[in-house]
Amino acid sequence: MSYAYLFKYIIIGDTGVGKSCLLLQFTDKRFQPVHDLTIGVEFGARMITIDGKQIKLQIWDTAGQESFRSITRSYYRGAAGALLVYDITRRDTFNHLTTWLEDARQHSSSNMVIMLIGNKSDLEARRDVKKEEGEAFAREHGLIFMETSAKTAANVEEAFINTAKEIYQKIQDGVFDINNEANGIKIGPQHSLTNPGMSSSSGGGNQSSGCC
Amino acid sequence: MANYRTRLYQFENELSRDIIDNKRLRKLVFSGCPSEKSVRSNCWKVLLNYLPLETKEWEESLDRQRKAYHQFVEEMILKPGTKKYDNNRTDVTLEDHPLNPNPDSQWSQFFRDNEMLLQIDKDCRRLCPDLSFFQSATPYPCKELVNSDLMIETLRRRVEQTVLKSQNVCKNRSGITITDFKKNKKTIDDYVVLAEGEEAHWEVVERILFIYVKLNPGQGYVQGMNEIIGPIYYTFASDSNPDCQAHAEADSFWCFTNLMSEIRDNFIKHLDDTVCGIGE
Ligand SMILES: Nc1nc2c(ncn2[C@@H]2O[C@H](COP(=O)(O)OP(=O)(O)OP(=O)(O)O)[C@@H](O)[C@H]2O)c(=O)[nH]1
Ligand SMILES: [Mg+2]
Repeated sequence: MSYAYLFKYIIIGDTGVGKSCLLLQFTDKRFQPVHDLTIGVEFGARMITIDGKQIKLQIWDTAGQESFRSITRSYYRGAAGALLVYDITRRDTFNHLTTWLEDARQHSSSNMVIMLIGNKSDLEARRDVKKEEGEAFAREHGLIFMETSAKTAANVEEAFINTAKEIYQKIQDGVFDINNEANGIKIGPQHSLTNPGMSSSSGGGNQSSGCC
Repeated sequence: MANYRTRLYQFENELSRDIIDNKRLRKLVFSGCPSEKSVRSNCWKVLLNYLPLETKEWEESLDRQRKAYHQFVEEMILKPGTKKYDNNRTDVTLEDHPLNPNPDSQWSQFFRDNEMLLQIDKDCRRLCPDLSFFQSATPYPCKELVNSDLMIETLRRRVEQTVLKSQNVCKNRSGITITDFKKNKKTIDDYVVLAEGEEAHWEVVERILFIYVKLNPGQGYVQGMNEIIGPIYYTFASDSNPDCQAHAEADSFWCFTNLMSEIRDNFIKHLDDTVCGIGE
C-alpha cells in the first residue's frame, strides 16, 4: 500500500513496563499477559491516516534490560518519534526517566518528538505514580504525555497517533527537513518529486543511498 | 616513499591527540589509510564511533564493550548450546514439540534460527574466495567452543545436523525410503575442514553475524551483510598488533553494529519491496 510519509519510531523504557504489549495492541489489537522479555530490538509497522494522508509507522521495540542498552542505542539514530514508557505501578521505572531522556537526547536527532507514556492505567488499585507527576515531568522536559493501558487498549491508538500528529505538524511548520533521512521521515513513493527509481536517494544530498 | 612516511606520521599524530579532531581525521582518511602501525584499524574504529574521540578513554571503553560482546556469546551460544545436552529429554514435551504450530514455540524458534544460520553459513563459507585468509585457522578461536571437553553445541555442529535433517525430509517427500548413506557421509566430510580445537576465520564471522541477528531480530539477516563485515573483520584480524587481532571478533561486532545504524534501511528484509528498501 502506498503512503504519503513514513515515520520511524522507537519505544524505550525500563524492562517490564509494557513496551512490547503497547506495540502488539497497536499493530495486532491483542494483549499478551505473560512477559516475553524482548531480546535486542523487535519490529512492528502499521498504517495510519492523518489529515487525510496515509502515514506508515515503522516502529522499533527495544529491550529495556540494561545489558542490551548498547544495541538499542544504535536505533535512536533516524527516529522521528520516541515513546518513552514507564509503569504507573512501579515508581522505580518513573525515577529512571531522566536517564532514558538523557540517552535519547544524546543519540537522536534534536527534533525527535518524545511522547511520555504512563502505562498500565488499568491497575488503578496498585498505582504508585500519580498522573499529575507524569504531567509535571512531561511539562518540565517538553514532552507530550498520556496514560495508557496495553491491556484494555485505553489510549493506545491515541499515543501512537498523537505522536505522529506532532511530527506531521512539525513538518508543516518546516521544523523537520524531510529530505534529511537522519530525521526518521521519508516521503512516500507517489510524493517523490524525482525519478521513482531513484527514490531511496531522492533527498537533496544524494549521499545516503549506499546500495549499487 | 618519503611521502608515505609523512602521511603515516600525520596519521599517528592525529590519532595520539588527547581529543581527536574528527573532521581532520576524515580528511586524512579520504585519500587512503595506511594499514601499518594499526593506523587503519584505529581510524575505522574512531570513525565508526566505536572508539571515543578522547584517547585516554580508549582502554576503558574497549574493555567494557569487549566484555559485553563476550556476554552475548555466552547468552546466545554457550548457554543454549550447553542446555541442549543437559535437558536433552525435557525438550520434547507434550506442550512443546517439533511440530508445534504455535509461532511462540521454542522449537519453531529453534528452526527459525537454524534457517537463518544456514543462510549465514552459506554466505560465510564463500566469503572472499580469492583470499585464503578466511579459510585459515584463527590464532584466537572462542576458547569455550573449541575446547572439546565441554559439551557445547557449536554453530558448526548445528549446521551439520540441520543439513542432514533437511536432507532426510526431502527424501521422505519424494517417496524414497532407502536412505542414501553415502551421500550423507559426504555432507559430513564437507564440513570437517579444520582439526578439532581449531576455528577458521569465516567461522568467527559467522558467529558475529549469528549474534548480531539474534540481537536485532526486527532487522533479521539479509544477504550482503557478510560482505560488509568481511573487510572490517579482515582489517582487525590481520592487524600487526596482537591485541587488535585477539579482539578482532568483538571489535568487528561493535563496528558493524554502529555501521548498520546508519545504513539499516538497505538491510531490512520486510522493507525490500517498499520505497526505502533495495527492492524498489
Ligand atoms: N495490567 C497490565 N499489564 C500490562 C500492561 N502492559 C503490559 N503488561 C504486562 O507487563 C508485563 C511486561 O510487558 P512487556 O510488554 O513484555 O514489557 P516490555 O516493556 O516490553 O519489557 P522488555 O521487553 O523486557 O523491555 C507483561 O506481563 C504484560 O502482560 C497493561 O497495560 N496493563
Ligand atoms: Mg519488550
